[in-house]
Amino acid sequence: MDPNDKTREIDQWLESGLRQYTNIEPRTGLESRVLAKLQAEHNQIASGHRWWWAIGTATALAAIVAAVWLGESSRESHPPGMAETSTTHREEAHALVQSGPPPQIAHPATDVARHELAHRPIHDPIQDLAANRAPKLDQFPSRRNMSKEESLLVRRLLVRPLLIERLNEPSGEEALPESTPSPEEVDLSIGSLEISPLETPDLDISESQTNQK
Amino acid sequence: MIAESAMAGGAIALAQQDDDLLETAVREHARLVYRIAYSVLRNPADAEDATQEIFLRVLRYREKMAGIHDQKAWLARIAWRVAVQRRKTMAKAAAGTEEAGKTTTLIAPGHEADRVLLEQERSAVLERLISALPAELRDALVLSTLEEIAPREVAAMLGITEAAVRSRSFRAREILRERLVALIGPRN
Repeated sequence: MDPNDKTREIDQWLESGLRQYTNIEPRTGLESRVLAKLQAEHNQIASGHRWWWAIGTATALAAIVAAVWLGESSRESHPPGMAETSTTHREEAHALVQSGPPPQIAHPATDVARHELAHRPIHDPIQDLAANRAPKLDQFPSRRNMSKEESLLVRRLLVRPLLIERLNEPSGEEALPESTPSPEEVDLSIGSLEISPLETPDLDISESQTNQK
Repeated sequence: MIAESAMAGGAIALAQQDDDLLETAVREHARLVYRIAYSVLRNPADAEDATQEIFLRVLRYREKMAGIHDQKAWLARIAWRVAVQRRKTMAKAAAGTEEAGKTTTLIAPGHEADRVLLEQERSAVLERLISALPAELRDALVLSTLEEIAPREVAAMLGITEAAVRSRSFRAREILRERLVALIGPRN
């Protein structure tokens, strides 16, 4: 065989081989399979979005409810009386700071002491007030709402006043030893008794006799 | 309220438009995507899986499709990237199994059996020779043989110039020819 023919044959084989190398037809229905897969994925994504929306909405609602509930509970735990007293103290402290130190009277004897005072560390009046003055309550112990059990007991007592009476009455044997002294403790000596004669004026007797008549 | 409903209607229309574009892309370019995947993976099942994966990626970014000028080149680039990535993963997973990439060809009626067998043998030889090429030459050669892709698009896919694509393809052919002569020459 001629070498040129051999080279030409090899070239042809190479070209046809390379064409076949990539010229591959897929199985029939590739497009349909791809579209079906895409549709399934699309539906999955859509349902996922729906779930995220539902979860997000539920979380937001829970957060709002929790915030409202926390606000209510904090309002109950800080009664208005306490809030007023604390604000009053704060206002007093600010007033003290603004008014400045009290006017000092010049006196030679106190100069040394004043010099020592001047070199002492300066305290912040607001901090001192806050540290020394605890907020005073209008009522001590502070008012608080009755518990459930207490309110139930009060309601029961109001409905049945007889029960209150019974509760108030001292039960015979238990109350006696504490209220009345024991017979040994009572002084029964007659000798210590002095019975003074009755002083009755005459006028009074006659008047009483006439009245009786 | 009317504005909101109009906006919602517009969004739905846009989504519908994106879906239509995607469907058109699947119908027009699924074969090209499959061939690119097959040229890299050399297995029909893997190539089909890769094709599905490529279009799933496109589905995630389908809003961008309307603004893409050359959808074929865009899809070809995605297909190339996905297929190469898949080949790397498969090479790691099935290291040492050389027979995994072998293809089977059905014998068409009317062909002589010896001729068909000869063609199969030649294809197997050529496949071995191509896979033995350096990666940069092999990629340029394989993509250049795809009829649907212009050299300019191949250059964009590989990130090299068009001249470099031609040069690499030519060098790859020369190497293949030399090896074929070395293989077949003594027999003939």
